[in-house]
Amino acid sequence: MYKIWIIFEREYLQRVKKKSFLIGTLLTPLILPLIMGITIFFLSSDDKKKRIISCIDYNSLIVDSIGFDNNIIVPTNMKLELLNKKINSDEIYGALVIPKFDIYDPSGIKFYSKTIPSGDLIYDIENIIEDKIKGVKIKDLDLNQESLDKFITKVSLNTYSISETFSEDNNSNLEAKKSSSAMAWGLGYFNGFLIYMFVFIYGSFILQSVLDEKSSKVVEVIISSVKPFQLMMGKVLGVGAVAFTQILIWIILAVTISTLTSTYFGYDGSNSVNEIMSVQENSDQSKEIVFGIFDMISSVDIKKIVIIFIIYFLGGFFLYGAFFAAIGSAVDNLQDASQFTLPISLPIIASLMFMAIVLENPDSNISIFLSMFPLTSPILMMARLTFGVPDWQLLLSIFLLILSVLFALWFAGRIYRVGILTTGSKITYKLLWKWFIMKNY
Amino acid sequence: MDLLNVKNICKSYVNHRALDNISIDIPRSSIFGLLGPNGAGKTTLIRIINQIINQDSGKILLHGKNINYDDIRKIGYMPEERGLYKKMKIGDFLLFMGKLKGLSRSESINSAKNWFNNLEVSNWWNKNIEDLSKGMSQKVQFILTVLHNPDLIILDEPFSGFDPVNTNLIKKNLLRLKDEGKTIIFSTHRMESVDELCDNLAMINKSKTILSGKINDIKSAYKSDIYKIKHLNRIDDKISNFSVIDSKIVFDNIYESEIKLTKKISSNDLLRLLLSNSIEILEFKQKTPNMNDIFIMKVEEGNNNV
Repeated sequence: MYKIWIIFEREYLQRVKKKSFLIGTLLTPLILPLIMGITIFFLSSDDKKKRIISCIDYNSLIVDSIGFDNNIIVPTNMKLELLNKKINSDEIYGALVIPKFDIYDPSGIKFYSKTIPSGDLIYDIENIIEDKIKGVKIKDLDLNQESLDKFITKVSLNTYSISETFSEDNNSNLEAKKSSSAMAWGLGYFNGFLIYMFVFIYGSFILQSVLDEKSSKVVEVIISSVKPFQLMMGKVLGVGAVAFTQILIWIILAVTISTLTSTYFGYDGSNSVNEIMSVQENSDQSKEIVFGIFDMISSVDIKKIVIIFIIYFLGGFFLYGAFFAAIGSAVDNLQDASQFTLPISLPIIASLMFMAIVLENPDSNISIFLSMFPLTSPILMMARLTFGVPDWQLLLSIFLLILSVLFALWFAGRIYRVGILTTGSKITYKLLWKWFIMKNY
Repeated sequence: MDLLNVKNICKSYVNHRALDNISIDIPRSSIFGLLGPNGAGKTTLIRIINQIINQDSGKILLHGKNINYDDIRKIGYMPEERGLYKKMKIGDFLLFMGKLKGLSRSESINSAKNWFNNLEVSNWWNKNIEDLSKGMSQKVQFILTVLHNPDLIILDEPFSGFDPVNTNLIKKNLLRLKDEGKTIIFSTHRMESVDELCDNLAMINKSKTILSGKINDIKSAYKSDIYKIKHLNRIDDKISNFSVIDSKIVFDNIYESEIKLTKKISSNDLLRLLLSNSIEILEFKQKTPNMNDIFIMKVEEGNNNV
């Protein structure tokens, strides 16, 4: 055990002391918002370009110019051929042709432009025309606008998840946790994706680290002092601890930032949405949004999620880390490694793809199965978790994961002990199997 | 007394037999040469002694007792395939290896400083490993091997990569270690250094021991029946029991000749025979083979038998 600790210590300190670790840890949380910010910036700046759409209207629906976003629809009497020329010379963006039709059967509306217009633009134009037709219809049928408005009703559903133990508060009202399915979806996706990222990035760190030891030939010097299995364990644990440190720093950062923001906005968890609603008129919009977010966050059991996240993170990391270590020990260079990393990566990538199914339908049989199956459970149980998972499923899934981790480490150890001393031979699955079953090495 | 006994070791890999019933005894406080061509099984045997891999059958005794895993602290091993962590400082790496061998921090530092002196290098403690030249990193590797003051030092092809100056430095240190009571096994397929360093040797070819014993015994056993003689007067071809291979005049009436016995007679008998033929002997020397000759001879012998 002590020797595993020595290997662990070196592996951990070597990585954490590097400047790139600190920079990476601090910058990564900024990258995602940064990319989003840049995208939004470009999208909005792109929209600022004013686009003119000429409209030939045989129904006289559009009499005056109509502006929307940064676009404007201008009625015209010009011929389509002329408009066509104007489009080609970029004088106008497009041409809308509304043929003569019966307003109860509007068809044959055409839009011409040089490039294919975005879905948003088409949607907007369709809305405008529908609106105009509606106006004509109201007049035609002699309807009252006021009574029509009363027809429109808006309902929004508040969802609650019921915990197994009901508690009644002082007013004898059933208290159930207010849940938000959008929140559950977002958090589920976030957690699943985080595990996916860590398993991949740190898994390849293990592979790289094992491979480096083998190719720099330091490995035989080391294993004359430690058993190969101890070396492998120390390494996997060391890299795992680096990942863990990174997550820990992020959690601390997130908690600090959220505490600071909440005190800034004067939110204390006891405020309910209703209270916020009641003061809505006085408060500005941004405050309302921030309160809404905090309310949603406080609706989920953060402590439980963090603990289970750590369990699945460690489980997933060790499971795949063991396989990556085995691959790194067997091959001589990174090129050879790729043929073996592909089958190992498949379940990880598949998990990410299945995540959509699981988030859409967290209680379906396939979701339950995928959150039990050890190769996919680290990512997909995390995706399901925020929607509420029965305890027995959670425990069974963790139990299966632990069993698989033990098996994977044992399996990898048997490959590793032979692999690190073998160079220059062509590695096949058959050979790996022979190494695995070899009794005495 | 023997420090290490290798008894009937057998080892097979997936596709071939690496060691076939190998037995070797290595006396304490000696330098032992483990010789053999590439692929003979030397490295496998060394790895078994270091308990990096396990034998299929047979026993290894250290100080007369079955070797166990704790004994690796008494062994210093420099593998043929050796490297260092590129991204570390020498000092950190030495501390790391010292810790693995059970040394305290101060023990590691003291021992390393001592060896820096012995190997005539200035204080390299804070130097980055990636900045080292090949010869320098070889020295660091040697220091790693002896850092924990092991009883048994095993060197696999130690001199590859060393320049002649550093080779001599290492040889000097090996002889000193031997005098201090350490036992050194060194494995090589280069024979030059064997002659001057080794007391005993074993030769392995095709996973079998083909020769072992004291180097002097082996040499005398392989003494050839060729003599080098410096003499006055020409040797008459017609004398029986030997034939003249080569003869040339060095100066005036002084000859240098190589003669080969055609019948088994002692060197005294040969000397008498020459004298009785009125040849005045100035120098008389039996040609002994060097280890390289014996090595090549034995390996070829083995190959022909297969």
